Amino acid sequence: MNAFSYVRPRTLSDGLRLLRSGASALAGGTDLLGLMKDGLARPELLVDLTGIEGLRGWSRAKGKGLRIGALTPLVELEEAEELHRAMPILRESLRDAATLQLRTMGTVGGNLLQRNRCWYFRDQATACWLKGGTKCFAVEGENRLHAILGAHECVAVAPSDLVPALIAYDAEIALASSRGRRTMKLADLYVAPHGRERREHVLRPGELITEVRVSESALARKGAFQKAMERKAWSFALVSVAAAARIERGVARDVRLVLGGVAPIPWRVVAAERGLEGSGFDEAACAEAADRALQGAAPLRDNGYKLPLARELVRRTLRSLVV
Amino acid sequence: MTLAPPRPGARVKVRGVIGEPAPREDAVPKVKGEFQYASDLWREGMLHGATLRSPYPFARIRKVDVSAAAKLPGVRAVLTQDDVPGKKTYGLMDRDDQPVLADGYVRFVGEPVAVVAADTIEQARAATKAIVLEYEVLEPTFDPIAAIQPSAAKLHPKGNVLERVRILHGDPAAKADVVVEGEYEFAMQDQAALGPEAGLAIPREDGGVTLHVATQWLHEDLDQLAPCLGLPESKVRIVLSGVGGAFGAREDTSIQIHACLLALKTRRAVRMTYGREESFFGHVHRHPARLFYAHGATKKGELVFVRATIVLDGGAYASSSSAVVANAGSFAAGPYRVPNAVVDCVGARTNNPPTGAMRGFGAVQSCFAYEAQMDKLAKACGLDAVEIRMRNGLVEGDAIITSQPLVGSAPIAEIVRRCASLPLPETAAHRDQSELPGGHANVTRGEGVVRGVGYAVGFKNVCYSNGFDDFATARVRLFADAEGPLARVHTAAAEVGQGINTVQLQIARTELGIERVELETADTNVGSAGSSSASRQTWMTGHAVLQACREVRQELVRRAEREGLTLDRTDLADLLDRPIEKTVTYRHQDTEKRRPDGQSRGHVAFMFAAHRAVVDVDVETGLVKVVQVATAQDVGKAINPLGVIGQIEGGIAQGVGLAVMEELIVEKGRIRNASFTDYLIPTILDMPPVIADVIEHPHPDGPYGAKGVGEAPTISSTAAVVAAIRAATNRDLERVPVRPDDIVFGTSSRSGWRIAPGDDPRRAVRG
Amino acid sequence: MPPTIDRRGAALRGPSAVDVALEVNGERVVVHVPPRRTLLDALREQLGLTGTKKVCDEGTCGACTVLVDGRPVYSCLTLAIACENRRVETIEGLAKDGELHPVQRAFVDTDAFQCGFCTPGQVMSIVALLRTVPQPTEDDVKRAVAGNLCRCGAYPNIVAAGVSAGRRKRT
Repeated sequence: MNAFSYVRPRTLSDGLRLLRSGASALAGGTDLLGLMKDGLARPELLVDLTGIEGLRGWSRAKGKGLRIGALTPLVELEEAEELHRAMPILRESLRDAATLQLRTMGTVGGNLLQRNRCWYFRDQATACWLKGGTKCFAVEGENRLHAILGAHECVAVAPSDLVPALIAYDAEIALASSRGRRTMKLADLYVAPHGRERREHVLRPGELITEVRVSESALARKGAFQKAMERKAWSFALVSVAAAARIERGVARDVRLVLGGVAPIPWRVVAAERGLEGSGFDEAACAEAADRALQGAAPLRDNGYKLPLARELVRRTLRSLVV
Repeated sequence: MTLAPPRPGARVKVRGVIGEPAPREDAVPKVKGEFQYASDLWREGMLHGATLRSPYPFARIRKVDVSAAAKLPGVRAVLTQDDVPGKKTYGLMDRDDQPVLADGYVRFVGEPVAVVAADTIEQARAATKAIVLEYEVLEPTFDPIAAIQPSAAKLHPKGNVLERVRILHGDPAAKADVVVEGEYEFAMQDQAALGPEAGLAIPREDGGVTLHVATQWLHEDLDQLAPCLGLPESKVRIVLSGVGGAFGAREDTSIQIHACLLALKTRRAVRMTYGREESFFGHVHRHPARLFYAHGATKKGELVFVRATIVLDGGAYASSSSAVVANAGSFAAGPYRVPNAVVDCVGARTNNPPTGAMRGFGAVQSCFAYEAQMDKLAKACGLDAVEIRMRNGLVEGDAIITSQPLVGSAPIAEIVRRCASLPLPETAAHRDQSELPGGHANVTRGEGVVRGVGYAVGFKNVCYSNGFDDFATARVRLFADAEGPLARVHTAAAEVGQGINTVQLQIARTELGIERVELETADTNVGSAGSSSASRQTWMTGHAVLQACREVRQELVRRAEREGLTLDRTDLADLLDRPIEKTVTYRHQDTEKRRPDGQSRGHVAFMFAAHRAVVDVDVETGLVKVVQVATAQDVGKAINPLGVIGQIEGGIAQGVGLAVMEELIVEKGRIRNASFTDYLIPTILDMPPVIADVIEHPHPDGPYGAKGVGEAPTISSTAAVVAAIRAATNRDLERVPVRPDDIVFGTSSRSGWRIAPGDDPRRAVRG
Repeated sequence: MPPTIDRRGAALRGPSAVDVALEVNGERVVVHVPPRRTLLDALREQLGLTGTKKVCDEGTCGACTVLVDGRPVYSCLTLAIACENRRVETIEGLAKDGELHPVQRAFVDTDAFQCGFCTPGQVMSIVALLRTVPQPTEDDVKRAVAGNLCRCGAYPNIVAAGVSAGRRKRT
């Protein structure tokens, strides 16, 4: 780890002011410290956000939807019973995420911004394309964990379990920087690295996620999340699926289907969603949606298994909304 | 040799004797965090050592310039091959083909090239980066079969064949009614001990050095270390520090020579501790293997012949490849009556990471293949998995394919039968989500899940074989202090977690009839105990302690007689105005060297275990949950029943890991997943319930009848799990670990070489 | 060295060593560490509390688990400076007056380890569990230590230790 200075501001405005060039924001540290130990992040200044009041915790005001502070530890979302009743998919997606210790340390904002786990990217000795090199080594290398969809120059996959679940509820994020505030759809935060965009998200320098919001209408949806792993705990998703829909008298509306672990970004499949709109999530509709979800998939040498795995997982997740 | 039973003579009941479940003697310091592991050692003013490693699998070193590194702040020494004062190479058991520091060539990614000592670890690491090296990259060889062909480039002056064992038994041309064939692949497993390689070297005033280190074999370290340091063995003392797991990975040296070189050079204490990634590069792994098999049987399923060709990838240096090859060959037909066999087993040198000892070495690789073959044969003969194994299982007096007859129990049919009769787990009805494949929480609610049951039986030698001078020494000192008689037991047996310390105490209490027994720290101030490997310590050091205690006891009897007393009615303290000290070196019976046809009475004794695995496979997604493993194992005598169960469960955990998740991915010689993020080992949620039937058929030569315990649980548990997955999926699954792809697509993994089973793999044909 | 004051008053500390006050096992201690020092290294190297183990140093094994403000965290991914004035509990703080903590006692009695390298982390995870779930089920225990690897495979006995510790009371 490189040497750096450290500061723990008390207010958001102080924090934003301190986040100048060369500074990194520290929350739970579960991803950042790993990146720093591997020499993949070398900040001169760490701005520890955990002293900032008001960014921790969640609330649901009547009719105003759900607001989750970016500094809320994941374990709080997982454990809160009231939240579980309001949006069960949160606990579902977090139960299998990392470990209790990591969920205790890790925050919502940090989870949204965690970097990919590609073993070429994480290897300090490999100058891969995403780190400014000339090629992606996974394309012709060891790629059983890599993308089957939506990849350009880099085939690493989006690692978060929480993010597909939130996107299935049309979550929005509030962002702040010393220059001002903005909001965007969480889904729009992510970008498949390509061309000059050698990064996984569009957060601006000096900008922080301050809050995640889910509208009241989205909370009316029923959701489901499934994650396939190589062992029973503590591994990143081979494939994860988040699905949600408002189901009125057996008919699906506002269907959302988002996959993790298959593409460089959380992979929302609008074509499959449209096909399910108005359906009753019957077997045929779910199977068709599963096929659509994987349309255009281009497996690499070793990750072809993700195709049937993802298809089956999509089908099951959708079916679980009604069965 | 038959031993007298333990004397019941003690006047009061002595607690903690053999056969009692005894808590480990180091339990309290371990749970309090006070136990000093090698990486916890600390000395005022100590320096920190770091290693520069090769980034290339094969290269010639054109130039080394350490001058810039040596000038960096805090740097006290930078050493390369030129600075090794004694012998420049080392290796286990005289296979000294590995340079202490690169000798002008590097032959694997991670090979040590230079070492640095500095005031802080950060300074030491920075200095390694400042060493200037110029390499001429050479064409590496990664395919072990390619490496042993006559046309292959020589990767080392000693050639590319590390060992070859050819076994000819009975009629090599025997014909059979039913013949099944298969090619199998066994991936590279890592021991993944949690404790990193670590040690502290302290220079002595007499020019010697004392090394505190986590190792499995103190005296073999000493044998390798002293000549390289250019010191007589009397000037080198090695002390066992706390060992955070071993499983074979500490059979070879890691930091030992380097730390001592740095300490001697700087005249300062030097600590070296590998980080996790470095640990993966800095210890040997389990040999990957390609196995080509043919089994022939009568229509009734009685084995007629086994033919096998096995190629093990030894990586860049020999390590214990010769023993691994010998085992893979010797046990290639399994614990079955096989009248005719041809086995050709070769260890190849490549530019992959070196491989060596891991729990069950050699026996695990061949077991995976021969047990798959037995199931194929059962199918072809219309038998079930249990029947075919009971029908062919060795019995006492039968010979294995090296013509060695089995002495003592060989209860194959019994362990298979008893294993098969253990209760099966509940089926579907009230299964918790955590019992199903996939994540802990969900993935399937039962859709696509097929249950499979599979069996495997394995066996392996206890102790060292083929003429190796295998011995263990124990020194027992009995004296009296204010509280009464106290015995101190001193051996060099390495406690690595397996429980040998507790076993030594139990034996001493049993033999001496007193409760107050203490262990001296294991070091090289006492004779060798040999390695904590090959499931041999209870047998070897156990015997040595037992015999030393009996000699002490005899002296007590003599003293009592001189005084006209009866020992059993005398306060021992009255006889101990002078201490009694006895040192005994135990040797097991001689074993024969291997003859050119591979035949010999090469082994001392064998251990046997049967495993039954129950799995649930989600056949649509390829995910597996191991639901239960049942086992019957003949341990001879459970000296510490608590420890025996721990060894059985632990061995099964590693076997399950290999079956479904553990694989070092080596890409062009480089380990791609050198971390616990990417090299997955089982978590507590992956661990199946284990039901163990511990059988005690005493071996006539073992201490109290005990056989070894630790390796048997790993030998056939992997094969049983894969058999269960085959049963659930109808896939051939010729490769381990089994991946979702293999289940979903039935991927086969061919070596690209055509080798008729039994043929010499050095004459292989591509295709 | 006095802290550099950012122009608006926030105290920038480091990059060289600074004093950091921690509460470790009930005692207030001050360690002199650069901001990049992890809590794990500060405990082991500065305070000599080597019971907390360094195995992976990247949050993938659990051997460095300690409690910070009562909750289990990986000390290898926690900066010491970020724990300023927080309550840190390590394995060394459990036994009181020479008597083992009930979880430690249960680990001894059920033979819940072999080499023992993962044990301090396992124990700390279960100690944290028992504070919120005094009588855990097997599944509770498994979930609590799913982030603590044990290579010796003592898992069945770790489960037994956790469950039985829940039934014990400190006498």
